[in-house]
Amino acid sequence: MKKFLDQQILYILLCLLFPIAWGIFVNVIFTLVRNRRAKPESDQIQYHI
Amino acid sequence: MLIDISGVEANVAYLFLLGCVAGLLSGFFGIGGGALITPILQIIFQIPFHICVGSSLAQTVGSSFTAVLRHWQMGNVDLKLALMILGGNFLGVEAGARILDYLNDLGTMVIRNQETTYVEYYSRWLFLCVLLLVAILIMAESFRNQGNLQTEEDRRNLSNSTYNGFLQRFHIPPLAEFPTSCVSSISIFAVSYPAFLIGVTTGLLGIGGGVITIPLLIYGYGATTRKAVGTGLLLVFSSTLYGTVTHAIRHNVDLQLVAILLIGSTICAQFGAIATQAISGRSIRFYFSFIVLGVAGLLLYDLSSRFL
Repeated sequence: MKKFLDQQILYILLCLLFPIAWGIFVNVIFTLVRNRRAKPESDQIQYHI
Repeated sequence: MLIDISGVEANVAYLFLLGCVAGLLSGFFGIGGGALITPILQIIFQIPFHICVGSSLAQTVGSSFTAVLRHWQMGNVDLKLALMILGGNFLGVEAGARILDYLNDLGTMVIRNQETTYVEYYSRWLFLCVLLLVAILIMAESFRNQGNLQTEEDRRNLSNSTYNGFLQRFHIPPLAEFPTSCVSSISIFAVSYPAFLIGVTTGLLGIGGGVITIPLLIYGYGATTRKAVGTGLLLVFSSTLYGTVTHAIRHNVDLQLVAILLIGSTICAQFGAIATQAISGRSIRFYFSFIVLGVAGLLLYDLSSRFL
């Protein structure tokens, strides 16, 4: 068991850190896309006003 | 007619029949069928566990593909939620496959003067625990919905309020919101790590995860029922596809077995889907929990007759 855990130590670290890092990455990307889509609309509203 | 599957001779007609039953159940209950196929292949057909896992995953890829396409076209998939879950889920599938490799390498053990492999012994106990958990989840869901004629989405629209899932209580930053699924705010930790654990069950036991993922999305994350079903099916398809690839690399997928199961399940899934028109959704889920309990009983009988 210990030998298996020693062999897999890098993968265990990846399992601990990657899910949260990936979650933050997806959240940032989708927030950026949403803001980029929303921006021209708000500019247009200001222009019309 | 007998075929050879990893040194075990199995009757094609019985395998086809198992595929038909799995298809009927998946069409009727809206699940992939992996939770039922893997233990039956292992106990009744005596096929090695790693082959059961790989082949069951490959069968689930085929049976969930058309359902995913249909839900995608209907706009029932929350892409942001699905992508966020998939990161942890894929790692979990790989971790499950590695644990299965490790158990396979451990070789044999003797319990009550009977020789068995570590993987056969521990996989049965794990499967029993997971099936009992699944049955409890489904029963709790059907009891909670009893006497409530409106759907989750209708209630939300009427009350103009959001339903909070139990995982939304953990306000550990960073937080994310999923407007498509009506999830106001949830910790990214609460989204990513349960997905990892579901992935482990997929890689280790060959369960697509639909029976766990959909209740988790509804009651854990607070997603609407329709989005939960569409997103859950996309997750099942993606994780089983990844699981199939990683198990195929380890030579755990038997194409003959997959083909026979898929033919049977594809034909009979249509009949199962037609049957759902006659019975309400709540009753269907309640009945399904008894089928899961039946398979758990089969596992328990096998374990008690051999090892207890």
